[in-house]
Amino acid sequence: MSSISTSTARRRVSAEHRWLGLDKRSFPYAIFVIVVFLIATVAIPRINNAIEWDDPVQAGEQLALSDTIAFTPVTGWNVESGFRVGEGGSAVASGEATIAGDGVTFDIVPDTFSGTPAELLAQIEKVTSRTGDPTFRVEGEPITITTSAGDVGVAQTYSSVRGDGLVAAFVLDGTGLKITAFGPPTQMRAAAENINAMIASIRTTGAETDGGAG
Amino acid sequence: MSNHQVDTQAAPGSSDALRRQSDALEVSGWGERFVFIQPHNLCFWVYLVLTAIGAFQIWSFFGPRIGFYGEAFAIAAVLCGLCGVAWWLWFRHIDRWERQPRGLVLAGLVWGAIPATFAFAMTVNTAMLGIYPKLFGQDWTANWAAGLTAPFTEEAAKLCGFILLMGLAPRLVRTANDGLVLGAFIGLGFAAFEDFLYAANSTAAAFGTDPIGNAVHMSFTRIAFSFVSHPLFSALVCSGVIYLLGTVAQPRRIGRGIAFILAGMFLHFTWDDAGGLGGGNGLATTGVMLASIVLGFTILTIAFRRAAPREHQFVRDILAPEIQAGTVSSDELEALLDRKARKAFKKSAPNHRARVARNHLRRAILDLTHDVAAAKGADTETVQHSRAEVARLRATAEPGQLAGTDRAEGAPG
Repeated sequence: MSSISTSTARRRVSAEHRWLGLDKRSFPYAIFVIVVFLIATVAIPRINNAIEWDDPVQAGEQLALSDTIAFTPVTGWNVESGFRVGEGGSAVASGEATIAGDGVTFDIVPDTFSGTPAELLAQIEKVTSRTGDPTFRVEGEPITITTSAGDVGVAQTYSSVRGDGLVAAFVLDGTGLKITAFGPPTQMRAAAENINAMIASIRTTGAETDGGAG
Repeated sequence: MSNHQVDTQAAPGSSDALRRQSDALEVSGWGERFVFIQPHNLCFWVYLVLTAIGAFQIWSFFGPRIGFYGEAFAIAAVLCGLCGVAWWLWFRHIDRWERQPRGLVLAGLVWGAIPATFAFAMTVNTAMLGIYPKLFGQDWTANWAAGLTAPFTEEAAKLCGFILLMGLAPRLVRTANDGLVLGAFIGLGFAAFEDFLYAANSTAAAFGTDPIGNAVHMSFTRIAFSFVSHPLFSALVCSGVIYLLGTVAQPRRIGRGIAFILAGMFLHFTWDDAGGLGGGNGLATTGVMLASIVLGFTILTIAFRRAAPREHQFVRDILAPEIQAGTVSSDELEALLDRKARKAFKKSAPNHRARVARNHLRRAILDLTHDVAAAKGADTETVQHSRAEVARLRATAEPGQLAGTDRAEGAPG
C-alpha cells in the first residue's frame, strides 16, 4: 500500500500556500512556538537581570543554615539567597545562604557530612576540581579556625581561573558547612574582618525551627 | 489527498454507508500515516532547531560532571527509564480509538524530554525563580514560587510541542482525544527526564560523598511523587487547546477548552505548592497531594468521557458499510462503544467462555475499524483477515448463532 502522508509530504506545496518553498499553513503553529521560546529564554531572563537584589541585612538578623545551625551576617550586606531565622517560612525555612557586600560574595552551603572538617575540605576540592571547575586548587597549608561558640573548622585559600578566595569547612552535629568567600584581592583584604566575624558567628541554636533543612 | 486507489467495488455497503465512511475517514484522519521529515513545513525546522538547542544544553549541563558521577547517572537513567516504559505501555493501552502513529508518539516524547525540559523550562524557571525572591523575599519564594512558575512555564513548554505536532500532522491531531493521548506522552517524556535531572543533581548532595546512593534515593522519591503529575497536566491542557481552537473534527468549545487548560495548570499548582498549601505540616502536605490526585483523576475521567462521543461517531461511520453487510451487528458495535450496552452484552453471554470471547470480539471489531481506516475503506487482505477474525470470535462468543457466523464469513456486499 502506498503511503498517503508521504505523498502529501513530498508533493510540491500549491502556489497559493507557498512562500520560499515552505507551506504557509504551517507558519501560525511554528511562529507561536518561536514567540513562546523567545519570551521564555530571552525576555524573562532579561527581566530577571534587570531587577536588582535589594534585601539588606538588618541589625539583629540571623540566617538559618539548617534546623539547628545559624550565623549572623554583616549588617547592611545584601541577602541574595537565604532564610532569616524566625520568619514565617513553612515549606523551607533554612538552607544555603549567599550574601554580598563590599565587593565580596560570601556563601555557606550546608549538607549532611559525617567526617572531619579536614576531610570535608578535601572532598570539596576533589568534587569542585573534577566537576565544576578543573582549575580549582586549594593553596597553602590549611589553618584552624574557631567560632565564638568554640567549634573548630579548617580554612584554606583557593585559586581558580574564575576567581580567588577563601574556602572553609566545619562539621557540626553531622552537618557539613562549606564556606566560600571570594572577590578581588583588595576587597577581600578590606572585608577580611567582616568575613572572619561571620565565620565566627556560626553556631548551633539547639532549638529546631519550623520546616526541614534545605 | 490520497494517491491510493480506493476499490469501492470490493468494499461492502451501499453508497450512503460508503459516503458516511469516506466522510468520517476524511474528517477524522483515522488511518493516516505520520511522516516526520517534512522539509516544506516550518514546524519541522522549528522542532529540529529547538531539539538541537535542548541537546546542546544537556551536554553543557551534564558534560563536565559525567566523568565523576557517570555510574550514578547511568543508574538514575535506568530507573527513570524503566518507570517511563511502564507508563508508555499503559498509555498505549488506553489509546484505543484512533491509535496515534508510533512516530507521532515518539516525536511527542522526545519533545517532552529534550527541548521542553532543557531548551525551555530550565532557562525560564531559573529566571522566574530569580525574579520572585527579589520581589517577594526568600520565604515567600520557598512556599509559593514553584507553583507560580511551573504551571505557566512548563505547561507552555510542553504545549509548544503539541502545537508543533498539530502543524506537522494536521490531519492526525484533531480531536480532544488526540489531545489527551498525545499530551500524556509529551508529559511522560518531560516527567521521565525531569526525574532523571533531579536524580542526577542529587549526586552532588552531601558534598558528593555518596553519589550512587543519592541518585537511587532521589530516583525512587521522584518516581513515587511524580507518577501522576506531568502526563496528567499536559493531557488536560492539550485537550483543552483542541476545544479552544476547534478543528474540522472537533467543534470549538471555548468554555470547555479554557476549563480544561486551567484545570491542568491548577493541578500543577497544587502539586508543586503542596508544601505551601499544607502550611509546612507534613500530614497536611500529603493530604493536599492526595486531594490533587483524586481531583486530577476525576477531571481526567470527565475529559475522556467528553472526548469519547466524537470518536464513537467515527467508529460508527467507518464501520457503516460493515454493519450494512452484516460483518458486524449493531448490538456488537454498541457493545464496543457504549458502557451500558457493553455490560448488557457481557451479561447476556450464556457461559464464562462466551463472556471472555465477547471481550475478544469487541477488540477484534476495533481492530477491524483500524484496518478499514488504514486501507481507506478498500478491501485489502488485512481487512479480510480482520473480518474473518470477527466471525471466528463471534462463533465462540455466541455458540447458538452459527448462522450469523456463516453470514459473516461469506463475501460481504
